[in-house]
Amino acid sequence: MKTQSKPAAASASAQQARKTPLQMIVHWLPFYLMALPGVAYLLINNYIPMAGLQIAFKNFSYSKGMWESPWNNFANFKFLFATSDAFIMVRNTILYNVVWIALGMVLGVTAAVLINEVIGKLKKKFYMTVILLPYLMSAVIISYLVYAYLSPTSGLFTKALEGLIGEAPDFYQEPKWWPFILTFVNQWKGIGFGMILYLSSILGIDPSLYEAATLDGATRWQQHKNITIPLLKPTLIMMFILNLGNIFRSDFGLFYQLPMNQGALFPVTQTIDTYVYRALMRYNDVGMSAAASFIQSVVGFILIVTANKVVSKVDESSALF
Amino acid sequence: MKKVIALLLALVMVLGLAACGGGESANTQPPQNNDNSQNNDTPGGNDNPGGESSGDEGGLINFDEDPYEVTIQFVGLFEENSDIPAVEAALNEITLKKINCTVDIVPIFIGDLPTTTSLNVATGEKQDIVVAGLTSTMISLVSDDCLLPLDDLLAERGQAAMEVTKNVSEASKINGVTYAVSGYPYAALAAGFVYNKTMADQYGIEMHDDMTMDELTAVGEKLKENGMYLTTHGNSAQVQYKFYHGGDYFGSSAEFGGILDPANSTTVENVYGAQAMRDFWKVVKAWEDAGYLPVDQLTDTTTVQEHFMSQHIFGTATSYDPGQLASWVNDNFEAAVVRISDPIISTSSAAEFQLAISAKCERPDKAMDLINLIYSDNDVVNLLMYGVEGQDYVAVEGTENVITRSGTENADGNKYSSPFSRFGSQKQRKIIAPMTDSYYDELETFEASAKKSLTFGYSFSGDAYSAQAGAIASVLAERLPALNAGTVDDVDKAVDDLVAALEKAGINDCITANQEALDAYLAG
Repeated sequence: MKTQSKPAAASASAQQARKTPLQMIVHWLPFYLMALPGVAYLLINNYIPMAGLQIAFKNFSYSKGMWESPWNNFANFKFLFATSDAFIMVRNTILYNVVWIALGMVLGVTAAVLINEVIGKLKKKFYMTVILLPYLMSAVIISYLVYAYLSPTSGLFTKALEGLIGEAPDFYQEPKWWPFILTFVNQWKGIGFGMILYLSSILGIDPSLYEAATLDGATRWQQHKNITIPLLKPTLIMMFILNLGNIFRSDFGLFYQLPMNQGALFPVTQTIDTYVYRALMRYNDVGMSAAASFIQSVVGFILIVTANKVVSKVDESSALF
Repeated sequence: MKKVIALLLALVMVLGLAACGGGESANTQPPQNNDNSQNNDTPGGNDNPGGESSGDEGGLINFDEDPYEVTIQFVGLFEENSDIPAVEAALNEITLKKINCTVDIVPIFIGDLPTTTSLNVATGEKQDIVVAGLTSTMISLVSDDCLLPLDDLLAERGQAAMEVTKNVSEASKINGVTYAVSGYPYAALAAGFVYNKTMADQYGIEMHDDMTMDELTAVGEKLKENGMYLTTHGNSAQVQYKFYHGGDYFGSSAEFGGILDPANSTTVENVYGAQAMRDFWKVVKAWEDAGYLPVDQLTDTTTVQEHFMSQHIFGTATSYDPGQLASWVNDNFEAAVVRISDPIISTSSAAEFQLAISAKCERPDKAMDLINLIYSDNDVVNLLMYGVEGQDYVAVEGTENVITRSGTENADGNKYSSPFSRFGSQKQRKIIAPMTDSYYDELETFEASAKKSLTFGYSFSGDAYSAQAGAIASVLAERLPALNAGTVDDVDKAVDDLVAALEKAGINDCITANQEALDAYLAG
């Protein structure tokens, strides 16, 4: 790819070199205008707010504002790590993410491959819509859907269990069930989005590869094993690296709304985000929440850079940068 | 070159957006309303110390300048409050004439109160009179630099407010500096049990003052026989005990300790380890086991008020004073309330609802003028409290100060009402039926019967202990709801585990620091 594009690039730069500055501006202006909304978005949403990182190191005063508030070094960070909850919330945040990243890839690729096998445009669109629909639902709605199944007094699932085996657990008071419930709901909700990403990559694979494999007598499984999966590798690696960047963050809606804020479930549902939110709602201390976000971002950044470095050592073309 | 062009274009866009964002506040002009012809000085009928005033006894008001618009927070739940413009218009007729300002009533959902107040200070959003002490302690607002010191302003233009609230002024001070004015000058509070009197009459239940937990248990049994629940505690991580027995607590859930008998003790303790609290939870568990409480309390998102109004429960423990019933009056059934603990005047009761001035207020003098007018003009108080007479409420015939919303479009309180806002003194306000004109005498008697907390005026800033407070709050959120709902298997074990977890989270450090600060305060 790179060698093929070199002559074309050299020709283009030779043409540009002959243009006057005015012609250059006229030539490139439409491109920059097209990029403008995206650049403005990045600046406003991603770069200008970075000035607020200093709040993590300040004793924030609402009256004095961000710039005038006094520094307090690392006092805000104590809030996260000086407590016995630190281990639980960090453990929950990381372990759920690790499991969900792995499961999300397996199930997302599986769904994409299966959808790709469906014959008939209408059927394909129907299945895609059904799988994608949960992704579009808010966590509040999903929490009530789950409650409709697991409610201790009128839940469909609890009542069915009572009918079948005589008794049902009180799901909202027993933490042991929630790693499975949260994982199930997370995958049910997120599989559609992953499926679309992987499906778009599968659709970009040259059909002649499959035709050649078919002529050679390869089964569908062999075709996916030897063609689809290897060609999906760059997308899988990209998604893996990007997901690693969020390993210190959690789906707040899922962890806060789904367990209906039940204290008894905290040992398995408390994550960094829910802990910070609960403390912030009670004490209104933005310094603490800024410190938590700062750590999440730094850990995410380090993980992305490290993972990318590792990938580039193994296979340079699959690295993000 | 390309980079320069891209940067310039992006910069233009950013500056353009920033300019758009800043335009609103820059163009804010106070509404002009110079119709001073109508005299609104209808007597409230109450013996408020301020009585009716011109609002400008000292000649401090400049009537030549354009009227300044003073914003004032109006804290509520989900009320539509569509009559606010009418209330503002009626208020402006008085305020323009007396203090040359207009009023902008800003409705705020109670859950958003602390964040809205502090964020408005941070962003410079127009904000003048704010409510302090309702959902977060005043000391936390002061620590966050959200409030203006008021001593000079009160001395200069707040004489009526000072006079009316002088008995509880210590509760509005932090380190000797006044930051607010109490909305509960008659600050005696007890624990009470509000109940459905129609239901009580139907099932032959007799309720009376000073009911014990055993007597409430007997009520629960009678209700169960008739298929009704006694009460619900919901999914609460609060000190539920205080609604039945009172006490003084530091922090939103006693994370800095508390004093269970503040009339006789100045010792701060971990209240969750107290025997009285343990006994209370055992009673609640007995209620839960016996079926007096709904089985799905912990996951039920319906509020206690909604349960009570829809008659799913018989009653609920609540704060008690002679005016408490007003919050529970409805058209569906007759409500009544009994006192179940001795009254006490504490810092938290006097400071539960206070008016303060935002640190970024553009015209603190005008904000203080309005606060002072509130404490000197009954019409202003009753407009803010109940809305426009004839539209949002009507007077009850044959009474002096009793009103009702029944028969108006505001019968459900949706047009204009707030269960949380308290303006002026209790003696300035009209009262809602079924209360009677005897309320004002009962208020005096109740206040006189109350002991004053030995720690009155003291409050603890937990700023230095925010890490521990976060951990303690997390422990309480995890373990307290099940105890309050009575769903634990073994109360003693659950309490022991709770206390151990609280100690691990650092509650003893907080209590020690609190006790030292309290001792220093009491020493003078």
